[in-house]
This record gives sequence, structure tokens and C-alpha cells, in this order.
Amino acid sequence: MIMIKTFRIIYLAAILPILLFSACEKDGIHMMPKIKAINKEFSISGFVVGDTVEQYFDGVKMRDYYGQVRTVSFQNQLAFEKDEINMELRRKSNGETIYRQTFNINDKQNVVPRFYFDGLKFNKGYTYPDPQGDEYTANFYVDPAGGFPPVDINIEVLEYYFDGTKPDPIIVVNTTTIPIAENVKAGAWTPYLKVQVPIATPQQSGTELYPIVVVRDAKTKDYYVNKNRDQSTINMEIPYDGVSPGKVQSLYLNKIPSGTEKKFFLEFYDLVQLFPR
Amino acid sequence: MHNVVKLRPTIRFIMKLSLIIAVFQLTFVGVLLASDVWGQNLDKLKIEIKLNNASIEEGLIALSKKSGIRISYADDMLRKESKKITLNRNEITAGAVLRSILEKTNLTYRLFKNYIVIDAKPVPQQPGRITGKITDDRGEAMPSTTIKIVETDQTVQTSVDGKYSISLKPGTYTLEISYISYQKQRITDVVVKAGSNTALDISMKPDSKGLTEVMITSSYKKASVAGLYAQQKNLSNLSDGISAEQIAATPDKHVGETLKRITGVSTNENKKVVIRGIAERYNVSLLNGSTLPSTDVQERDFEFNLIPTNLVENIVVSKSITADMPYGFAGGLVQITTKSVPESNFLSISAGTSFNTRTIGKDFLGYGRGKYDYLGFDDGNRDHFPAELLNLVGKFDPTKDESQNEIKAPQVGEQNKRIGGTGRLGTRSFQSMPSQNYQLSLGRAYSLSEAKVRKLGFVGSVSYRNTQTNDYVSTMRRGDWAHEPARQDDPTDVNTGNIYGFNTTLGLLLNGGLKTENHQINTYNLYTRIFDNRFSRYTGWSFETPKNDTDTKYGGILEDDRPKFTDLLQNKVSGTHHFKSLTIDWSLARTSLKSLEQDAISASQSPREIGNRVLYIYQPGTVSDPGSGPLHRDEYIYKENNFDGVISAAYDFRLGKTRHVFKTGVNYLKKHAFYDWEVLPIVKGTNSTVPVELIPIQDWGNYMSMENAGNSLFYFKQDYTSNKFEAKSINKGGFVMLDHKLLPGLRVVWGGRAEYFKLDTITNSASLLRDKNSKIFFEEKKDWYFLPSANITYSPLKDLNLRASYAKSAVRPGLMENSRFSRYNPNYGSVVRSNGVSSTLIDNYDAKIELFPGAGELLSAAYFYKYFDKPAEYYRIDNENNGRGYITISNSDWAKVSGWEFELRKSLGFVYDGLAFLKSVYVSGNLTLQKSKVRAREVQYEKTAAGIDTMYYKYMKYPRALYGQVPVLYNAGVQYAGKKLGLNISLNHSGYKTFITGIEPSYVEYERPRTQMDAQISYRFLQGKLETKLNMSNLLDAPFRYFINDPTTYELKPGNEGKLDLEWSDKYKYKFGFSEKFEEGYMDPATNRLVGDRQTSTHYTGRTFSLSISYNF
Repeated sequence: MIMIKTFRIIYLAAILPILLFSACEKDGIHMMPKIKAINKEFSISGFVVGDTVEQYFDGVKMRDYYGQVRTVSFQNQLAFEKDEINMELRRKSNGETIYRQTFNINDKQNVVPRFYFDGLKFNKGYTYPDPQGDEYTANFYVDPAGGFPPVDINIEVLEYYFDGTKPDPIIVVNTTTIPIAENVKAGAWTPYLKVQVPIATPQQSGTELYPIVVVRDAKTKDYYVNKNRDQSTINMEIPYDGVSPGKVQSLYLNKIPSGTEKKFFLEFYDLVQLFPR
Repeated sequence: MHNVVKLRPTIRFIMKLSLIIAVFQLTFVGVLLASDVWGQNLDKLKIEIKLNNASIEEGLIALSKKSGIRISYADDMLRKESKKITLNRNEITAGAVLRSILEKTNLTYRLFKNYIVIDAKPVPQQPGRITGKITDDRGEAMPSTTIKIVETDQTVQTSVDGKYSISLKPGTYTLEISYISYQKQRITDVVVKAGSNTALDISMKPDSKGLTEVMITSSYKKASVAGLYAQQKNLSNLSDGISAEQIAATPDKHVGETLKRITGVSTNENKKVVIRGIAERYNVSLLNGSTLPSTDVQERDFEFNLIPTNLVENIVVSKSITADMPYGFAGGLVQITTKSVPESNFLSISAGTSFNTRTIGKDFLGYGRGKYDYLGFDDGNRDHFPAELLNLVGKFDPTKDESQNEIKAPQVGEQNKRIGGTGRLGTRSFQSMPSQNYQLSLGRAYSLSEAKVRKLGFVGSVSYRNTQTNDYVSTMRRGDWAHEPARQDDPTDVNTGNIYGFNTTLGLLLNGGLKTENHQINTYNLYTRIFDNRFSRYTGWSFETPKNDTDTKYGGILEDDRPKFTDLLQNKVSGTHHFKSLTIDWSLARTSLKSLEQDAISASQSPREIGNRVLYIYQPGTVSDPGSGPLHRDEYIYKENNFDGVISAAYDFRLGKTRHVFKTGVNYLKKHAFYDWEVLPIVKGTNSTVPVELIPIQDWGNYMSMENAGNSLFYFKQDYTSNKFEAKSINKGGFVMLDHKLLPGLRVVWGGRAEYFKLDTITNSASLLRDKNSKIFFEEKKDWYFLPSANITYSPLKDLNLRASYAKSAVRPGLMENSRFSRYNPNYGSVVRSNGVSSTLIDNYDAKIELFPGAGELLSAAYFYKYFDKPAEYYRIDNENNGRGYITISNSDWAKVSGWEFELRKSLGFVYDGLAFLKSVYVSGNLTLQKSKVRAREVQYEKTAAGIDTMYYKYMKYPRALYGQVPVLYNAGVQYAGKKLGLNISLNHSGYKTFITGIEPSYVEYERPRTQMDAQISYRFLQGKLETKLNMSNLLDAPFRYFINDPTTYELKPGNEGKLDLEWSDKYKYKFGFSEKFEEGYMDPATNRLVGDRQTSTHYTGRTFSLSISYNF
């Protein structure tokens, strides 16, 4: 009797591992799926303000968009695991899907039409008026991301001379200020404002005049970025008397922290250039 | 009415009761006679019966029907019987039928009135046993000692190892133990219970007065306690150990678990043994007296998990040295002895399973497996290393015209085909399985003579284990990995990884032996097969390319797969012979280890962010890579053959009232190691346009035909990446030792060893291109060393021992420690190599006080001081000044280690007498406190004016701590060992440990303090035959955390700016709030960077719960 019991137990002990082994896999599931094709003509472009837009592919988040949306380096490629890829753009604040597009493996190009998202509404492009005569008009949007104070945007005509012996060779002797926009609050577009032709008269001989557009804190009147003139300059076009054919500009400004120290830089886009007609 | 009565158990009880009453009544009316009458009638009553293959019950029913006699029986009693009856007779007495039905069963019958009552036969009483060991006042085994059972006049003699075993009927006996010139002992009240063993170890005292008729009488209780004392007290050296009986009381399954229970011993993942806070390099492990080869080539460790505890006779850890020990150590000598001739027969099987909280339910990643991985064998899937491959360096370049290549493209294509495809490559996910283990062990003992000790026996075991582990590395900032995040406020900029371990171990052990009163010959044979596959997979940013928001937004992946098949075979024969006062011990052993790491793969994946996903692309190497490149498959074969022989003779003699032993002997150990490596990089030509991002790596083999050489992938075999190492060492020595028992309480053991060591590297190839022209300096001052030793033990009181010892020992370099082989270790993020290592000589001084308050209780305090001459340490060296360096082993100038060791083991019985169970509760703890100082040195190379290469050392002014040293180490535990239930909780803490040293703090890596808590519950069922154990280890999920004192935590001392050639301590000091210990630090608001120590590696192994069941037949 005991012998039979012994053999039964030994038999069980021998059979158990075999049962367990048979349940074990040899090949597993590959971590990297097979890619059917890579389409290298994918592009996405647009502009986002007010709320971050999240880009999802087949339900998996890839990246956030804020400000300018463009296709950089290898991002022009789409890897197809299946024949179709679904892209969704969602508002970060509430997860609402604002745009959907399906790309097919057989399409030669996979292009997302240029869009503008104002924080609430998804628009197929950014609209702006035509230039009137030889008039220069511009509207401004200061990004509220950092909760910064209102700003003044002025043309400043610098009267300077050049001295190669100084560390900063440009010596400014006089500045003439021509306002464009005053007390611009962050988070909303200003109306289109007229940009004056800058006029100034040299006060000294041997100097030159140079007009720049700068942003200042509306309250303290300090330069907006790092209290530094050059870093607070916007590269926008200003009219020259009798030469220009008229122009419309839509300027987006964003003061962004830079690097590890408490410094900032000014991000700057002209939406009229980004959304050409 | 049916005349056959079946009884339910309850009815049976009522029946029994009524039967007793009836018998009581009948006694008085004399009806007992009736049974005789019926009994006679039963043999007179003739019936006809036909039974064909009938069961007992069917037989009884038939008999009852034919004879008209009522038969009473219990169903379940009959069910236990499987007998079948065939009986066909025309004229047979009812009695004969009944007897033939019940013949050869466990049933009998009885008559009661006109009933036949069927009963079970009474079970014959099983004998019990008394077993034990007889030792003398020095703890030495006493063979040929006579043990007499006074009541039965039975006598037995002890065998050569001092052991005895007597089989007796249950009862209470008196034992008389006698041996010439020793006092006779009489032990009363020895209780023997049926089927169980009564253990009784006895310590004999010499009869110094020369009177023959002195008899010491003591009770069993007193004698067994004294036996235990004697074991602890009478050893000549400082040692701690654990016996088979003590191991049996623990829930441990293998030696790895048991070692931790010994004072001052801690193990690292059951592999590396740390004794007295001294690293594994300075400890020696012996299995049955022979050294165990390391199962890892570049590190010293041994899988103690291989040896199941039920085959262990004892484990002794010696911490001081006597001249007869053939192997030098500084921390301790772990001696594991397995059983050879068991005291009694046994057969036990056990099965267990365990699950780890960080493994089960998670993806288990790895490369392709083989069909037989669970059995520990390869199915050919990893065999990609055919012989005689062509070296392609300088002989084949796919970008060149075919006419310019010495080896042509079709030849390379054919070679690729011979090597085989890449089907096994590429990470995949498997389901993690709980660990499983099974073991069958058997022991048989045969007595060849009734009168004399002639015992023959063997023990054997077969075991199987499969374990799957998943260690999570939450931070990796070692070596080549980014040492800090690019932006401190970016929590995603961290390097993480997992180490997946798949281990199958098969073990086969067969020991046997013959022992008589004076002779013993044993053979020990161990075979183990280990399949160990370690797959490391790290994700993150390297030191050279830290994270940024553009091209290195996503971290790369580094993979390393190391499937290793190890065969270890140890065969040993040993003998002990007594000729009156002379004892001769000898042994011969051969050990062979073969470790085949087959198809080890290193691969890296670069992330590329495309429109809809991140593509991780395996990177092939290029022909212009100077080394093995980012992708290679390798084979490493390590073979080590050891032969060792030991013979010693001990002569016992007396001078007046003092006793002495003179011992002398020689030993010989030869080691021969071979190491072969073959690294096959997978590369593509510089202009190749093979779309590797589109082809999964497992299909790359399809692009290796070389029909279009410029656009193919191929195996780029290089001569220096495929090479070998061969070395042998000889270690031989002789010793003379004297052991004096001068007074009853004073023992002096002293002697000396002369030891010879020589290591020769026969072939020593470099494995890196840049090492091809470098040499290894191997500086062994001399071949012969004289190593004296002395031990004094003094017992001024019965319960007190004072010990002091001195010994000189030599720790020898391992064969591979002088190899020019280098290899990247993914878990260190660095290459590990050797700068050449020579022997370390150690002067050991020890003192110890031991107090034995009760049986199994101990209180001790010890002090030790050790001077290491040329200690070998793991250094991080950065000669190339790239901020990462590599890890190497080399000798420092000297080290001094001193420390205290305390131990306590006490039963809680003294707390309150009213609670009996408190006597079974033991609290135990041990504490080691130590400190060390090392004078480090740095090797300098110079060319003399004559253009000869020379080397010299630059010695460091400021001493630092020794590698591997742990300044604080403690174990604390509470144990309850009842008859059925066992509980055990233990806490193990180790303080800061020097993991890798270096000449300045930014290279020195420490392990932070760690506390591990384990608990065990065991319960015995079925009279102790079935035992279940639940082990819970690492209940706190304590991580292993390492760090480096970051340069941000120290600053230049004023006035040292721009000074060169200053030692660190001259030049720098720690900033306020920082020290050598770990400080997390703070974020500097000015720079937005962390000022604090660099957490180099943190990994979690998870909590493990294991359940095992064992059954003893």
C-alpha cells in the first residue's frame, strides 16, 4: 500500500513540471511590431494659441502643439503597421477631439491641411484682411502662458554712432519713440492698428538713425525681456515713406524661459507669413 | 432481515461500548464458554462454498449465507484490504473458510454469542532508536567507544566518526559508555518512543587519575545538554556552525538560505558570502573539503542554492586559522559537509513554488528561447559558432572592388550562412511564471554485521528548480550612462532598466561510504547543470549624448542577453583510519567546471521620432568600427579543471597528566583554466542602404547572402575579438601542528604551514584592440611562504571560554584575475578588466569570550585585527580621462581591519515559568562593528633613458576604507520551534559598503545601508511526515542603492587653485552639510542644478513568497 502511494506521489511530482513546461512559450511576442511601409510625405502645419493641442495616433499620444505647428526632421514620416492610421487632435484642457484624419498606406501624400486653433475653435487657416493702399497695419497677440503684465509696443528710432574700440561698438545717443500699441493685454488679439512711418531727426552730427520695434512692460516701462533692449526687439516690418506698397502683419509674441537660469527669450511669429493666401 | 450486519463508525462505537458492557456481564454468567462452543462448532459446521475472485466482504456474505452465522464488521476496515479470494469446495468447515478469507490480511476474528466479529489485528509495536556522537574533551570524534544498554545487555560501538545508533523497544533505559583511559559514564532515564529517535551526544572526560572504576552518573537530560555544550566549547578555533539537527528546525531549502543564520555571515543574493563584513574575495567556500570554483568568470561567487539542506551534515564557518587548514582566508572559511552514510533510511520528496511581487503579472522580456530552456539544455537555437571562421579584418571590405578583397563576397556569404540567421534576436515578451522546485532524496544504510560496526550506506538526491526574476532598476547613472539629468526639473530624464533572470538548475548528488569502528571511506559526487539567462535592458541617455528636446528627446535602449550553461562535476574520495593512537585522514578530489555562454548578444536601439510613433531601430556596426561595434553575438567558453589531494596524520600521546596530539600533513591543489571567446559583430558597409528600420532584426539573416555585397549585412569576424586565455596554478603545502591539552581547562594549538603558490598564464590574449600592445604586470614576490598559527582556549569556569589566536594566511589570485580579457558589464555600465593581481598575505589576530548560559544558548564578544599586505580591490580607473573609466582589480599597498563581534542566543524560558512555550522561543542576534584603512597606490609607467618600459607605484598619503568592507552588520531574529509549528522572523542590516574604490571620490561607489526582513512559517502534519513551509523574503522590498560623492558636494580648499599633482584630500574638502555618506542635497537656486550625491544605481528585487511541501516516507 505504502509503495503504491509512494509511486503515486513520485509520479505526480514528475508529471507536474512537464505540465508546467508545456504551458510555456518559446518565441514570445515581439516588442517591435513589423512595419509594413514608411510614407515619407506626411506633413502637418498650423498655429495654436489659448490651449495646447495634443496629437494622437491610433489612440496613442505623440506630442503637444502650442504656437507654431510644423513638420520637423523625421516627423515627415508615417510608419504603417496596418493599412490605416487615425490621427486625432485633442484639446489638452478638456480632452475634446477637435480634428480627425485617417491616413492610408496607399496614399502618396499624407497631409494635414493648415489649421489655426484659437483656444476654442478649430479653423481651417488663419484669416486676415487685405492691405489697404500703402497702409501698414498689424495686430498683436501676447501669450498669457507666464501670466505676464500688459505691454507697450513701440517703434524706437535709435540715433547712434559706431566705436570699434568699445565692447559694445554701437553707441546710442538719442531715442525717438513712436507708439504702435499701448497696454496690450495678454491672451487676446488686438484690433489691426496702423503702423506709422518712423520719423526722427538726428541730434548730433556723425550719427545714423535706425528704427526698431521693441516691447516694453506697460507699467514699469522696462524692456519686456530680461530688461534688455536687443532681446525685446520684434523683427517686424515697418513702413518707409513712399516706398512700401502696404502690408498686413499678425504678430504673435511669447516670452519663454530659457535654459537653467532665470532668463527669457522672445518667441515671435507673423501669422500672415505662416498662412499665405 | 439481513443476517450480515454492516456498521457505520458511530454504530461501531456504540457496539464497542455495548460489547464491553456485555463482556462485563457475561464474565459473570460464564457465557465465555459459549465462544469455545461456537468456536468448536465453527470447525464442525461443514458447508459448500464457491468464491471466484471475490472481495473479503463478498466472501464473508457468502459464508454468512451458507453457515447461517451472523458476521459483524466495519465497512472501512474491509475497504483497506485489497485481497481477492478464489475458493471452490463442496465440503469444508466454516472455520476453514473464515480463516482462508482472512489469511494474509490485517484482520482477525473473534466469536461473540452467535456472532463472528471481524477485528483489525493489533499493530505490532515499532522499535525506537537512540543515536548520537561521542566526542572527547577537544571535540574530536571517538571511534570504537562501547555503549552498553544496561537493561538488555546490548552493546554497540561507535564508528570511526564517533557516531552510534541503537534500535530498542520503547521503554526507559540506562546507557553505559566506556573507553579505555576515559571516565566511564552512566546515563539514566533515556526514554525511547516507538518509531522515533532519541538524540544523545556525549562528551567524554579523560581519566587523569588512572583509576579504572570511576563512573560518572547523570540523567539523560543533563547528559544531552552537556553534549551540546561540549560541541560548542571544545573546538580549537573560533568557529560557528549549524548542524543537520539545527538545519532541520529551520524552513531553509538550500544552503544559500542557511548561511545567513550563522553569526557574522551574510550572503548577497545567495551567492557571494560576506563574513565579518569582509568581502567575498577573502572568504573560501569548501564543499566536502574541496574548493568550489566560481560559477561566474569575472567575479567570485558560487550558487549555494545548488545544495539542498536535507543532504547537509553540517556547515561550519571558521573564523580563525589552524595550520591544518589548506586554504587561506581572512574573513572566514565556509565548510559544507554533505551526508554520506545516513543514520537511518529515508526517502523524501519535496515540491515548492514561489512568486515574486515584481515578476509575476509583469511582462518578462528576453530574446528567443529554446525548446528545452525549462530543462536547462539548449535545443540548438543558440548554436551559431562554427569552427574555423575567416578573419575579415583588412581582408574584406564591401565598399571595395571585389578584385581588391583578399576574401571574396561569396566566401563571406557562405560564412554568414554557416553562422546562421538572426531569428533569435529582438526583444520579445513572455509570460512570467512562478518559480518551481522539486526534489527527491533518498538515503539507505545497511549494517553488515550484528556484532561490529560495519555500516554501508549512501544518500542521493535529484533536484530541479526553475526561477524567473525581474529586477527593476529605477535609476542607472553608472559609467557610460548620463550622470545627471540635462535639466534638473525634468523627471523623465532618468535611465531605467530591468534585469530578467531565467534560471533552471538540475542537481544530482550521490554520496556513499563504508564505516567501521576504525575506518571510514566516503565518496562524494555532485553534478549540477545550470542554465542561467540574464537579460538586461536599459533605456535612457548616455554620458556622451544627454537628453535634449530635439534629436535626443527619447532615450536609447541597450540590451544584453547572456544565456549561460554551466556543468559542474565534483568527485571525491576520502578516508579516515585509526590505528590505536594514530589517525590518518586523506582525500582526493577532482572538480571540473564548464561554463558555456552561448549566443550572448549585445544590441542597442536608437530611437527615431517620426510622425506617428517612435521607431526603435537596431543599429548594425560598420566595417570601420575598431571594436565589436553596437551589435554582436558572442560565445564564451570557460573550463576549469581542479585536482586536489590532502593527507594528514595525527598522533595522540600523553606526557604525565597532559595530553597532546602531533599532526602533520601535505596538500596539493592544481588548477587549470581555459577561456575562449568569439565575438561576431553584425555590420553593414559604409555606403549600404539596407533599410534596417523597416526590417525586423529577426529577419536580418535574410540580407546576408552577399549577392549584392555593398547592400548586405554580414558577420565581421575580427581576430582580436576571438581569442583565448589559458592558465594554471599550483598550490601545495605542508604543515606541522601540535595540540596540547595542558590543564583540564587549557588547550593550546600551534603550528606552521609552508605554502607554495605559482600561477602561470600560458596564453593571455587581449580582447580589446587598444589592449593588444599592453602587458599585465604580475608581481608575485616569492613562491614559498611560511604561515605560522597559534590558538589558545582557556576555560576558567564550566560555562566560560576565553580564546585567543594568531595566524598568517595567504589569499591567492583567481586564474582569470590575471587575464587581459575585458568585457562590458551592462549593470556597471562599464568595461571590467584586470591589471594583474598577486597574493594577499594577512596577519590575523583574534580574541573571544564565550559564555554558555544554557543548552543552545550563547553570549559572546570577540575582537579581531587584521593586517592585509597587498589587498586586491576593485578600482574604477579613468586613465583616458573621459569621466567614465573602467573597473579593474588590482593590489593596494596595505589594509588594516579591526572590529568587534557580538553574539547572543537565548531562550525566553527564563521570562515566566508558567508559559511552557516560551522555552521554545529563542531570540538571537549578532552584531559586527568594524573599520578599515587602506593605503592605496597608483601604478605609474615610465620609459627609462635607455628606452626600457618600467613601472613604479605612487602611494597615496590619505588612507581610506577597504573595498567590500561593511562597517556595521547585524542580524536579529526571533524563532519559535514547536513540535508542529515553527515561526521565524529575522532582520538583516548592513551599513555603508564600499562597492568600488578609486583614487578620488568621484570614482568611489558605495552601497547605502540596507535592511532586509524575512519571515518563515512552517507546520508539520501527519506526525511530522508532511512539512509545509511558507517563506517570505525581503518583506520590506528594500532596494539596493548605490551612490558616488558628486563633485558638486566638495570644493577646492583656498589657495589650491590651479595646483596640479595634489591628492584629493590636500586639494578639496566637503562643503558644509556634506560628507562621505549619502546626502541627497539641494537644488541650487542660482544655477538650478542639484548639489548632492549622485545616485548611481537603485534596483528592486521585490518580495518573494514561496511555499514548499515535503513528505518523508
